[in-house]
Amino acid sequence: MIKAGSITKGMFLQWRGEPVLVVDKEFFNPGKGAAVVRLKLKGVKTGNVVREVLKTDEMVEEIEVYHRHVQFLYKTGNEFVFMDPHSYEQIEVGKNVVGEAEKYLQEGKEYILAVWEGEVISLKLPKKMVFTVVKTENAVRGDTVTGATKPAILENGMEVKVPLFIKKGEKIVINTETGEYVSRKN
Amino acid sequence: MNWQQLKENPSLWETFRLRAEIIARIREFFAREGFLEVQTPVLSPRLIPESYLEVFTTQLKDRLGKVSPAFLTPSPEIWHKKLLAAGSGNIFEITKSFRNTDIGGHFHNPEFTLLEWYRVKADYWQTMDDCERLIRFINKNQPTLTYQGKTLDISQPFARISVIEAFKKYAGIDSKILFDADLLKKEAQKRGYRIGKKDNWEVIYNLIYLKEVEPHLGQNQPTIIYDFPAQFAPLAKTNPANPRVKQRFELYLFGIELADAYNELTDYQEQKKRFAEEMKRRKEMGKIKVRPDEDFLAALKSGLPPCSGVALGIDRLVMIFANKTDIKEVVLFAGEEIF
Repeated sequence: MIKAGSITKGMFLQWRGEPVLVVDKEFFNPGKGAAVVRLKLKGVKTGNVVREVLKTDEMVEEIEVYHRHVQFLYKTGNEFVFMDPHSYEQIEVGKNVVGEAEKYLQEGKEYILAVWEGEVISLKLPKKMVFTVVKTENAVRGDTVTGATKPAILENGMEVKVPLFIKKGEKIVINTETGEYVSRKN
Repeated sequence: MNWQQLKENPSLWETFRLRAEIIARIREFFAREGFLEVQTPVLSPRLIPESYLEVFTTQLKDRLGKVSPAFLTPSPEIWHKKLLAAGSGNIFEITKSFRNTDIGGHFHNPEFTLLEWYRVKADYWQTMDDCERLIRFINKNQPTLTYQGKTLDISQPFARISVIEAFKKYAGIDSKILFDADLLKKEAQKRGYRIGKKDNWEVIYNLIYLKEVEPHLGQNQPTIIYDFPAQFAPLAKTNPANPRVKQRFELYLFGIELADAYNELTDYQEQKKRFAEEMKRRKEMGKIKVRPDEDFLAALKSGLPPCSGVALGIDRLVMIFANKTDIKEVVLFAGEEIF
């Protein structure tokens, strides 16, 4: 059991009998009475997101998940195949777990799987990932407005806004939480 | 926002150009309204003893080594009221304010930029109007404002709903239950809130307010929620028509609390009594002791004109106008990035 105030984003909890992932947390000092935390909890089995408000000193049950560092191999049908690089064991993960993260899966790249009671319940992405720009217009000479951006298509098909100095073929860093450009990859 | 991010992604400067523009528009708005811009200390020997505030404490030393306690101000309010008592007329300030422990999260930074204004010979209905006109002016009189894919019509009067009405409308709790500690506790338990023995009425009220009422505010229409339970407004006037509530309002856009305002309490005796209660509460809660500001009470005693004051969070305002979901995206060198 832990205090609600110590809950962090990415933690798993047992909430009203269901395993949930903490997708967001915000402290709130309401002015009078105890400080509270507002949580956004995503049901691991249902995918439903609920908002809860808890007192920071309220006790909640944390789920001890087992984190496996794995490499992504390939997709087959609706299954995603990962491999434990130490045991070479292959692990199949369903589309329901991977969800929107599919576009960030790169062959051979390392990810973290959260396992609970023998089942993979969540896929964790590296916060920053590198992608190659496959298509973008060259900046027009004389266009020197700092802060201007242009669209770019990445190797995974994503479209992002990038600074004008980014050229086709360059590698750039993407924040996987926001899907936005962060920097050039040197 | 740190300098490396800006260097790597020059488009991020856009937000800070917009921020500067918003602050310039605010100054223009109040100049046109005839308000005097003031600058008051952020380093202060005394604070208003509001029970919940976590404050930053430091020390002032003189050259002989004499040490006096000092605080970073959580709000410029005491200075402004002294100026009002001195006959300043309408005033505003754009200043840094400090709240300890407010680190982490999308909407808080331990130091934040606050716009505070006071309109004299006015009540909170008039400062509600100020809020509406200010938001429209910053938006260059465009009728709509879009944030995270949602659009609000800001050209029409903002929705105004009392706390009592909001509990009825969004949580289905009427005032008979709301103001009765036992009934509210039973209602909360029925709804699955985990209420402990030590949890008083304020705690239960907050849990329900934050979970069932607040998320609805300002979602379809800019919303002003007003008349808060007396416990939540130690510096506001009591509503003569209903003494259980005090004349305070908050402005919400897109579910985000942007501003907090009072019909200011001008009664010196009443203020003194409330300060004593707040200090007792701070002691019970184990918070740092703050001495009451006798000079503030003296200013009130000398006569504070009827007035209403508003505190508006500029960082959150910029978040909305820049369409950003995290305060760190609109603040240069946010606390979380530098500590």
